[in-house]
Amino acid sequence: MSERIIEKLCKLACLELSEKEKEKFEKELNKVLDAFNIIDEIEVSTEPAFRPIEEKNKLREDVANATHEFTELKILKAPKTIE
Amino acid sequence: MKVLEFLQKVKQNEINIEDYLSEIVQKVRKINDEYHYFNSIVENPKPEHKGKLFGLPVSVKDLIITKGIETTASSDILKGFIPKYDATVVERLKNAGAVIIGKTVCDAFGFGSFNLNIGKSFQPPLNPIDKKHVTGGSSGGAGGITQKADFTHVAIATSTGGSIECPSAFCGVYGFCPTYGLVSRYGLISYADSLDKIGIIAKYIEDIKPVLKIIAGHDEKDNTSLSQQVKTKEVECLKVGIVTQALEIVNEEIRKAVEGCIKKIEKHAEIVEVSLQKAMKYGVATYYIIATAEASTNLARYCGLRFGRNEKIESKHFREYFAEIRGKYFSEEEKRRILLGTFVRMAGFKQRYYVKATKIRKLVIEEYKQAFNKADIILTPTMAIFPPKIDEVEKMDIIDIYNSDLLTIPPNLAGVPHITIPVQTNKKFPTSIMLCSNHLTDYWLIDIATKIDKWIK
Repeated sequence: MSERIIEKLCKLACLELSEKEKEKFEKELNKVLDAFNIIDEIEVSTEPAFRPIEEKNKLREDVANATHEFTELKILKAPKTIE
Repeated sequence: MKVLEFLQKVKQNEINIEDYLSEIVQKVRKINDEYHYFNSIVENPKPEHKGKLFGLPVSVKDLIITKGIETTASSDILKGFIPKYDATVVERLKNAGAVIIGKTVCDAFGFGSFNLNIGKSFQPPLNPIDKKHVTGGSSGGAGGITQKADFTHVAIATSTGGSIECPSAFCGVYGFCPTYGLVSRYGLISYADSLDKIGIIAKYIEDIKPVLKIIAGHDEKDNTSLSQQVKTKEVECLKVGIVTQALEIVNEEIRKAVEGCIKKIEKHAEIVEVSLQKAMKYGVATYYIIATAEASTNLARYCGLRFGRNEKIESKHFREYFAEIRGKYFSEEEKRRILLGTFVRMAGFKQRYYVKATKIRKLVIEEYKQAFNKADIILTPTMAIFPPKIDEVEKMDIIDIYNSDLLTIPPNLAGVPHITIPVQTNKKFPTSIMLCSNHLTDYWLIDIATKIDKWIK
């Protein structure tokens, strides 16, 4: 983690920081990353687990229903979502 | 009074709900003036429907949206946000007749273990046993009010890496975190989608199940909500797995108290040793990489435009306005986690950190599955320390703060259900044991924990 990377992160994350904050976070995040580097010790050949329990795809049937209808002007009328 | 007894009395008209709720609001206000457990208190709470929980007072962590009640996640950036709909959990509680009495304070967006990471507009909750100490976090308000309330009440809280377990332990109450996906996350302000769970904090262990039965179950509005059913389990002789590594790292008084519990449990169950070596060694790093990666994307939506704070956009470019608002209203910990999460997902670092962490999570899940081949439940201490003083936390190193979640992170990474039981010690504060069981054995776990609670008392 360097000053240049902190600048890049601020740009990517759309976050305005003071010079003092940048200095503080650079020091702290270097410490945190040093601690995280413990994961370099372990070799992993498994697939990633993006969730603790995997579920099968639960998409509904793609069927048009009465709430989606074309008006006389050929405009799709969607159900009201906000009061 | 326990929940079922309360509900019975309400049904038999022995309790007048209107008077009872009005009295509770007065009490909550008084407690709040001294201990700061609520971000907002409902003026005239009343049941909206008849149902199984008719009249039950419930507090909701301020990370869960509630129609018409300000929902801030205890962050300055969301100050003033009034949701237009209820989270599924809130909707189900209201439909069952429960009454929302207020929104409890938490670490901003759930980012913390001591409930001190809050926006400037909020006050940190104080420990109900000694006000100089922290309640634990992130569900600190929920833990505090549950201990302090002398009325029937249940708190709805959330856990990502230990936010139900830690405050339950520090405040001396029961905490339950369900299998990942059992309770809908729809309407929960996301911290880390693949880790967030909504659970319950209660004064009595018997209060958890009636509330879980109402809030659990598939929800088509949440694409991570499970459609699988909760399993029942028959056990002839209960096998309780002990994790030796976990006992070695805790405070001496906590170790003695937990070992005392194990001795009492041994009279009723078989004690076996299980290993969670990978979870214990790599859990904290794995968790913080995944959680901050997801948090940094989730918090991208708070830019002073759609939710909460917004200010006059003068002649600036939108990106400048967004960056300024985010820099102004996010707290130090929010900024730290956004930076860290952006870094571990950044080109050149993503494989080394984020992708690797998701693979280690797979190993942790497998490790739990292996442990559950040897034991029906796994018992560990919940926290390695007693609640520290507020000024002690302020001096703590960031690594020490993150490491304080060491024992609560593993079951959260694996998404297994777990429950914490308060245990008396020789010190001023109680401590707590945590029981975990396999995915989707939630009700069985609560039943076993209820027995264990009696054995160790």
